[in-house]
Amino acid sequence: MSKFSKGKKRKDPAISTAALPDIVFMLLFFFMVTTVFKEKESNKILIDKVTIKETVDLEKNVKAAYYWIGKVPGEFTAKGEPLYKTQLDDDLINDNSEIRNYLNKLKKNPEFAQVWDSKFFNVFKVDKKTKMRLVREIQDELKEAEAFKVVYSVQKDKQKK
Amino acid sequence: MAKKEIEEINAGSMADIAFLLLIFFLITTTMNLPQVHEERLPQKSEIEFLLNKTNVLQIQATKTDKIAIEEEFAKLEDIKDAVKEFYVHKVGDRRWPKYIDVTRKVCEDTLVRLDEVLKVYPDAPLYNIERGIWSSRLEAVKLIGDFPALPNSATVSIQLDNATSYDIYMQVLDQIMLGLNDLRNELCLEKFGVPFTKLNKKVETDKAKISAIRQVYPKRIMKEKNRSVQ
Repeated sequence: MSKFSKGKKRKDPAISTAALPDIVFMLLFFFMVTTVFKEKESNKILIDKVTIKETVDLEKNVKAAYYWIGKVPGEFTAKGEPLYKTQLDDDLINDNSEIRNYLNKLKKNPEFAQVWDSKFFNVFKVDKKTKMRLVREIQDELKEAEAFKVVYSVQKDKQKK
Repeated sequence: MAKKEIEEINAGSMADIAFLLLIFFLITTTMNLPQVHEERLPQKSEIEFLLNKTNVLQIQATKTDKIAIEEEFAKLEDIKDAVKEFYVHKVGDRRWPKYIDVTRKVCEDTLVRLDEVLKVYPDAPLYNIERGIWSSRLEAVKLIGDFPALPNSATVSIQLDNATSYDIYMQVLDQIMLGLNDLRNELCLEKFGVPFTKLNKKVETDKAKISAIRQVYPKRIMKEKNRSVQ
């Protein structure tokens, strides 16, 4: 036997692919975990959020109604100023009294009625430049329907105080 | 040298590594909850209280988004200090509300008196509210000892014009909360050695602490309709 074999070609060892699914799963999990769901957004109204320093987390597992108040892109008032409108859950509203009717309808649902005073939140997402009159008019409607819990969705200012 | 077949790499532990990573990320990641500012709208038929002027810290925002504190123009940042002064000031300062001394004895005596009244008028809403306040104060005294409290009618009042922007409204609320939370934090550090924000309201003992501190520095904000200054 010679010390150096010359005859046979050396066979490449097969690369094991057994770990491939693991790698794929690992990637999958990584992205699953690092992904943050985008907050519920309006597609009809433009919102430039307010930034404040003191905020609290919105409680988990709450029932909520969403109100967007802001500019409607591409639409203007007769004076040529941007048009501010309100969107309630999925639809733009033209008359504020729709809110009252909507809330009263919700209240008839026992699921909502049970938690009406404790875990039913009215989530406001309001554009910075909105005049308070608009917000007030809507809140007057809430009072009519006895929905008193209001939260304002904001951006947290992460800078040190 | 003898020809050596390269051995296959054992991939059996790969799955373990993957799971380890998975669990690591599962544990360390926190979901970002939406950040909000909470508020409770007033009842529609709320009784109009006649307020003593010293019991109110008046903050106004004009239609051009200027700020006035106690009818003097001021900067947004000044609100924080004004709120702090409103809650904590020298005893006997005429500009600010008079303190009530809350001690165990005062709490118990008041509760006895209120219970007697409630026996006669069981449905009187004001007495019921009063009773609720004093019983939470008693709980607070048990936990943190005697403290001076502001009278029940002491409130921070925000007056806005219809044309004030939402941004300013939120900034004013933010400044008030900044001032209030500063005070709460200080007290909480002094009494319990942890900052107020670190208390978890899902833990029973912390819940009592939170409500005690809220008794000392209650959040009372009132919104008034437009009485705007020019």
